[in-house]
Amino acid sequence: MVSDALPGYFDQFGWRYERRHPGEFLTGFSGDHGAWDIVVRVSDLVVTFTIAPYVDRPADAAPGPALLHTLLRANHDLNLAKLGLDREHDVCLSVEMPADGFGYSQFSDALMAIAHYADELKERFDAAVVADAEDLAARQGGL
Amino acid sequence: MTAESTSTSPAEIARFFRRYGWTFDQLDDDTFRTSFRGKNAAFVALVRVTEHWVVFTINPFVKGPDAGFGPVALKLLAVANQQASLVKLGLDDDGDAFINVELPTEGFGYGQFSAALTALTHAADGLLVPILQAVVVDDRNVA
Repeated sequence: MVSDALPGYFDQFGWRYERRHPGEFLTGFSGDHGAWDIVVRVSDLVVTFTIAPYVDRPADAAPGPALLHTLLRANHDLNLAKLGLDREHDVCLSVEMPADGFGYSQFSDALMAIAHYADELKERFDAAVVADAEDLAARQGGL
Repeated sequence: MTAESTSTSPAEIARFFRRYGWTFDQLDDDTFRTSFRGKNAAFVALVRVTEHWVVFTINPFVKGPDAGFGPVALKLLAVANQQASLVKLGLDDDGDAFINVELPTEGFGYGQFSAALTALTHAADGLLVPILQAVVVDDRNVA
């Protein structure tokens, strides 16, 4: 069972964690540009590492074109990790691995990737949120 | 880890293709091309083995319109990332939509190969029509 092996992987990696459910773990880290919680979920098929929401944006505004472009262009640059929009239209950063064959090597790759990109992409996404807000304000001002 | 979960090689990818039952062409030392027909279209996929990653790609998945994808299509692509397991969608340097699956070379075995190819083909076939519809809606909204 992958979920039973995860506590040992966290210990080996040197990160603290909280086991919230049998197949769900919470961990977190602080980078140069912020601090994030990471949820690790284990299903029969996939092990998923997720930061959600990854980007702070106005709750009353739909994701704008700058944010969507930044997200989809960043997906071209990222290895292993991906960005998406969840049901609440929040930006999520995640890494997914097949549960079949999942071991410490995959665990380590996934945590390093999500932590690296969370920190690296933060300024790019902050700029996109500002650009969308300015664009929206300009269009509302022009009405 | 399973016994087959060691670092993979192009020769192993060729074996995995045969075991999966799909034909392929080896384009160069590290790149394979295969194709499949879904319910709605035929697709060509490339599988590339690098030092660190095995990447399954369909690109272009949907050619970008001359004026770029509009907001409906961009949002659909972004949301699809969160809903489709293991696969990633994004925009390449030419503005075309791509779909791929990336997994670490380390620990890559037949289980990962099968999971990746299954996820890629399922997502490509399931998402093509909704994305093309979104492009049409964006086109109508501009006209």
